[in-house]
Amino acid sequence: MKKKIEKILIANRGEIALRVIKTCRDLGIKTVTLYTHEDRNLPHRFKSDEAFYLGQGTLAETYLNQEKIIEIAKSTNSTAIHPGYGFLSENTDFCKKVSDAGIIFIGPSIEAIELMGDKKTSKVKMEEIGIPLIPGYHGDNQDADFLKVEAKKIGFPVLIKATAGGGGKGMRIVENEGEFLEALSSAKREALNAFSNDKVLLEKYILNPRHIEVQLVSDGEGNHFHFFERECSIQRRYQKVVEETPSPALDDKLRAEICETAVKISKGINYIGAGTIEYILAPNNEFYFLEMNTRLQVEHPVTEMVTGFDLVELQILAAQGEAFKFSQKDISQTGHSIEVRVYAEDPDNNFLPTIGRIKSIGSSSQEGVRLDCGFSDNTEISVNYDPMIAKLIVYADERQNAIKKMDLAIDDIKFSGVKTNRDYLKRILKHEKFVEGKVDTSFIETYKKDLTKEELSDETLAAMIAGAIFSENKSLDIKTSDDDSWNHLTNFRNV
Amino acid sequence: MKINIGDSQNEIKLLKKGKDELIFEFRGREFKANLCSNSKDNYSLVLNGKKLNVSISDFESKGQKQIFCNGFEEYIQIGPKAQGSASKGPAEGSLESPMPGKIFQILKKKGSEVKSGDTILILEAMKMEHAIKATKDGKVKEIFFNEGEQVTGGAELCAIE
Repeated sequence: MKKKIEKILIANRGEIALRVIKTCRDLGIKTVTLYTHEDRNLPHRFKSDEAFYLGQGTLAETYLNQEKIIEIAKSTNSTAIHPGYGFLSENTDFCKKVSDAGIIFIGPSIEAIELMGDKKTSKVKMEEIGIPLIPGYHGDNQDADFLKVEAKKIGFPVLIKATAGGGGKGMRIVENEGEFLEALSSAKREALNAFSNDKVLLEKYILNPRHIEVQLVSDGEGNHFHFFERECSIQRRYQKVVEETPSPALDDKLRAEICETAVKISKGINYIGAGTIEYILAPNNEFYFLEMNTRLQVEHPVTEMVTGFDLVELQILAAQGEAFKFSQKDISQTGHSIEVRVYAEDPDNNFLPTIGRIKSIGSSSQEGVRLDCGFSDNTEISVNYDPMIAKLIVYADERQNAIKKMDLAIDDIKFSGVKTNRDYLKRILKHEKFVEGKVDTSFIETYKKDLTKEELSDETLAAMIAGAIFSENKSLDIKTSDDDSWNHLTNFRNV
Repeated sequence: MKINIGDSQNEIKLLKKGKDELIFEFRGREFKANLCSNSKDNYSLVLNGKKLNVSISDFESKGQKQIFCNGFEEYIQIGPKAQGSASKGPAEGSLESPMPGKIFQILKKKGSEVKSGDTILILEAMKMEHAIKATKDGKVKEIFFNEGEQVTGGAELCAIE
């Protein structure tokens, strides 16, 4: 089916809505966005061509309200719906309703979402096409005592995972038999709440693995491409915090093997559009298929930085049924890119979510710095949405320069007014093991101590105190002349 | 003069306080600070002969100032902590909500015996579950909310005696 997309309704909010708008503007496609009462001042409402109010209700009544969203898409004559990530991006009911309404869903086929979205069916399929899998139980029997027996067979530590899950919800590591039943009921409860489905699978928990994933995009004519890997080992509670590409763990041979395996999966399931194959890479360089995300990923910008491709554009082309005008050898990985996720949370107080009004986000003047952020100055961060408020991405010729650039970029992007994890991100970037690229998914847990807040020097604190006292003086007016500064420097006279 | 840095109390001795000059003692050392210029939240200082930029933002929720300097971020409050501020800390044996959220599930009833570390209730915020655990052994004296209720950050959730 070939159909030119002229207008896209973006069924999402925040930074990803803005990301889609950017590409649409480049391509001359009109956009429609949605907003709730709480989001009424956010830029995604204002940067689209049309914006529709979803009211003040719960998530189910607003951004997840399928009927209403489709109704708005119809009334605005939108040709297609882009779901972003999260929300309705992997919801087959929605996907089907969108197609039935004669609107293009920008994403893979319903069959592919169904197959890969369920951790169990995806594993059966992977086994069939010869992709390496982690030992586990992926069966239908959900009886707690039965699962406990299976867990014993696999051998502790065992991982419990919601089959419909993602983002760490409905997931638990169980160290021993005694903890199993409580962890199981807690995981099931969280899964039921988050995905309306409490089915779980069990897996052998591999110690000190890395998280490596491969970006795929397949065009509308059955051509499958990979856009190399991303390393996302720095995670906390299964939420990624720092992502980069290339991975410091892969040599050319292993990279080729991992990327080619991903393409084999894409071909094996007749995939269309953008998707990501996630792997567990064990310390002995064995890799196992973990899951496929049938959507655009949060961390897609690092891939765009090193390959030069616009992944949202490719998603749109594929959704239009077009063939890509390039071949695999035209895609190369040049330089190094790192992304950090800025969360509204307090890392020095159990990572509890924070809220507040952003006074000033700040900006970076460095080359190769990209900020994907859904907020603007003087907007509110509320408790009702994901605590990720922005993604900061840098690009440099090589890894060490990218790390240095990121450190400076974080200084420039202050998010004043709100407590964020900025300081914590800097501690990660400075950590010896991170600098050496020797990381695994337990990095944050293993180096917890090293990553606690460091005592600031007396000089820095004194400067802060002095600043605080000066700022108390309300009669202080803006002095614009910088001449004074030189007079105060010792042994320097401005004559 | 009392200065709170994060959660720790500090003392400085002000020796001179002018409109754009300060001399003070902090941790046994004397510091001389001159204000060169300021524009909105950004202050250019000379501290003991060294030029520094400090960025200061009022931090509404706790009456603190959020200060950025030398690549670090810190929260400073001048003078003693205000009574009733969120940083006051919970009363002995009571458990506070660490953040705004919703009471998802109450696991221990009023009157039940609990051990330190037992989960009393589960709070849901930002789509994640957070267990509120007993900080000491004792008996649940009161639970101030019902399942499904919204709570603010710092709200007293339950008392243990």
